[in-house]
Amino acid sequence: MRKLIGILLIGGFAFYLITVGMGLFSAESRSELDSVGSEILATSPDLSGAANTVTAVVVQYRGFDTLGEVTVLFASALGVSMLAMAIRDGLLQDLFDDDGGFVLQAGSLALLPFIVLVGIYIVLHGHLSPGGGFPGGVIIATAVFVVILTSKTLSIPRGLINVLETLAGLGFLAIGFVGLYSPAQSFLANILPKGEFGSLLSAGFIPVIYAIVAIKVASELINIISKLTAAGSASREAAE
Amino acid sequence: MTVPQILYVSAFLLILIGLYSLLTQRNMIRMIIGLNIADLGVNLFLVTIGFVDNGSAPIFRAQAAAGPMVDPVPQALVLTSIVIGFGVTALALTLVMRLFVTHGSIDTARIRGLKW
Amino acid sequence: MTYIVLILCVFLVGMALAAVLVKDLRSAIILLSALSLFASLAFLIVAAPDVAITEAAIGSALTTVIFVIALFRTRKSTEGNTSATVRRVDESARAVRRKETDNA
Repeated sequence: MRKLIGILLIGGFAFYLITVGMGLFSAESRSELDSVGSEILATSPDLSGAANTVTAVVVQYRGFDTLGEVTVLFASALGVSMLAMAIRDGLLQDLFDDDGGFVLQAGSLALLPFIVLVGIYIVLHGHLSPGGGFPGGVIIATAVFVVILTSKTLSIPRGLINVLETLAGLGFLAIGFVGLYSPAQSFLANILPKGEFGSLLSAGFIPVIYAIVAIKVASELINIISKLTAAGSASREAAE
Repeated sequence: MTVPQILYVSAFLLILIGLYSLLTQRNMIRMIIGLNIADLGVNLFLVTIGFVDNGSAPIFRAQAAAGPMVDPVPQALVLTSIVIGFGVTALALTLVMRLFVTHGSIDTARIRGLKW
Repeated sequence: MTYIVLILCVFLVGMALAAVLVKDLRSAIILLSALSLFASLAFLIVAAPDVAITEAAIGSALTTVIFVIALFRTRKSTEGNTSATVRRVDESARAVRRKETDNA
């Protein structure tokens, strides 16, 4: 019965998608862009100074949406923290009983600085090559996950992670408010000097904002995972 | 069939498969797998909208790129969408874990408020 | 070029179908991770390298970790011996045997 209703609903939705999408499907593929895309591509090197146009769109043309996204990630981390308090009380068993032996633990600790280096590289070169703050922050958090998942007795400095996350969020807002007092007089205006096109210290405040976003994303993800596993919690010591 | 047409069709199929799994599966983790697949389909669809024939990535290099560049605006929006999709998945899975602690099973047929 | 995209999209849809229909949950999660990797390839073909890096980092690494943690925490303790229960059973069997040799 459930499958029948499911198939009927999916069939109706498919019919709707086909009717709406037929115009997209049968249009011949275009060879030049229409208004907004071509305008942004034409004005982006002068206005923002960044070689990577996607980064310029994310930080400068649509900086407020990036602030909203950082807020959504913060809200989901908050929800996970509140729900995970009850989970840790319910399951007192050891989460990872076999810790993978000595090779995995030593290997993950040896790999940690290299993965963090790759992440920092991707963040700092966000305005010159593909990448940016979001994948860079995720890679830095992945380096810490590898160590969490393979060793039993890692304790994450919770206070430091919380302080980093708070400072990063406040830093983003502070840079936005400074823009209100600049000659452009708008929230999140590009206030730093634009430098030489294509060099590392160019594109105004885009590397600074992306570094702040990377710190915030990385610390939030470490927070989520360390709340969900029992790394450094009271229940782990009680079970032993 | 040109490249955008193939990608539109596969994005639609991914959305439909994800929605089907979300509607008809009883195991809650399978529902969230379906949600993830639908997310992937939507992101693929959004990025394909900005495709230009023989387009190259929207990055200005030292020598000028030969030919047109693809649209950077949908790519910027999809960047946001991928990260938010992960946030939704993490919160949904934490809810599933919490339900397991309370009710002892992740089968929606056994939890009274959730069956249909 | 069109054939590469066609094969890639057939893989994509096939793996999505397999992730929904397969019986074992662990296989479904591994299929999801591989699906995200192929989708990252598809993003690269549409000339979107930023999106490809982000999708590979988040979809393959993070989502799989969170799913594995959720799967671990929602299995019933009767299905599949956790090493904790095996250890406890082992210790109690050893204690019973020790008591028997003490009594004998």
